[in-house]
Amino acid sequence: MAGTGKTEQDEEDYHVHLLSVNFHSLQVVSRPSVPSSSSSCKWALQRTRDRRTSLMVVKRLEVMGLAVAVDRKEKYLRFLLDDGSGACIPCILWLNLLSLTPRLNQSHLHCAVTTQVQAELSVEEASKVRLGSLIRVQGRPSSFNGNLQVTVSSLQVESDPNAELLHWLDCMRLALRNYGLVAVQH
Amino acid sequence: MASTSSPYVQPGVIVRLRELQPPSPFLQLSGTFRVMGRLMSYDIETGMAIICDEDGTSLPVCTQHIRNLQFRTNSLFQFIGELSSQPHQEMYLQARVGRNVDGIDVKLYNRALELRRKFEAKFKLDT
Repeated sequence: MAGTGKTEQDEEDYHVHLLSVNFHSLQVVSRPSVPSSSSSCKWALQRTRDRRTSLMVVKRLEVMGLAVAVDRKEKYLRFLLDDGSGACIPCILWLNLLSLTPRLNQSHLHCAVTTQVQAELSVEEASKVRLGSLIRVQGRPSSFNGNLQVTVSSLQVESDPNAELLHWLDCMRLALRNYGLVAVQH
Repeated sequence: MASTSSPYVQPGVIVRLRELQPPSPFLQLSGTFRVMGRLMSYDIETGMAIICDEDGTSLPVCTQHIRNLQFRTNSLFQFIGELSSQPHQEMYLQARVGRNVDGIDVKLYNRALELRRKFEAKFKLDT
């Protein structure tokens, strides 16, 4: 898909709700100038609107599933979500936000506080992820070793089992009626 | 525990218990399933649980790898695992993951599952 300059692109500025079967259809539409920074790639899904085919650039997304593998390290938490469709969704939650952010002076106090709060939230959220728990994840698409994954910005452990059913119905309704997603032939 | 670095952890195909009876087409598709049922019995020594669907179909589930789950009879549970069907042995699910789903709307679950199957058939990738 990369390099198809003639295809129209729509950038949606909200969390795109996706089932795994659609998540794994995400394709890179533009790469960053620095090849190593894979997280800056633009990812998109193919859609049709008003009988025209275009690309829906996905900057943020929301997925949900059962945690079927959890790998806890000092710097990050990696886990796999299984929503029963497509393939499992790899997710990564970074826990070293403070060390990644350069030291900020007094004029950037607001940024420093925000980062500090985000870092504390990440650690707290990571502690709640258990094998078998139902997890709702907000984040952005990225890749690691050529595999698509979600870089987590926030997550919630759902205690209501009906939340998963409502998420399925939401994803299907949005994919068909709002996003206009189409199946992609590989 | 499955490794998160491996993209090859199979997702549990969501099925009803009666759909695991031979010659079900689901048995040809995958060996990994997600099932839901009411806990009828649980053997604390062997870790074998028997779950039952609303239509009376039952399935043994081996839960020896599952931690931190209280097995209360008559509660609803979901399990993800691999189906084991060796010759001369009763078929059972070797569970990797399990959770209590008391409070789930079973009618909504069944309806949502039907809709999901239609949706996935439309979007299933041709690889």
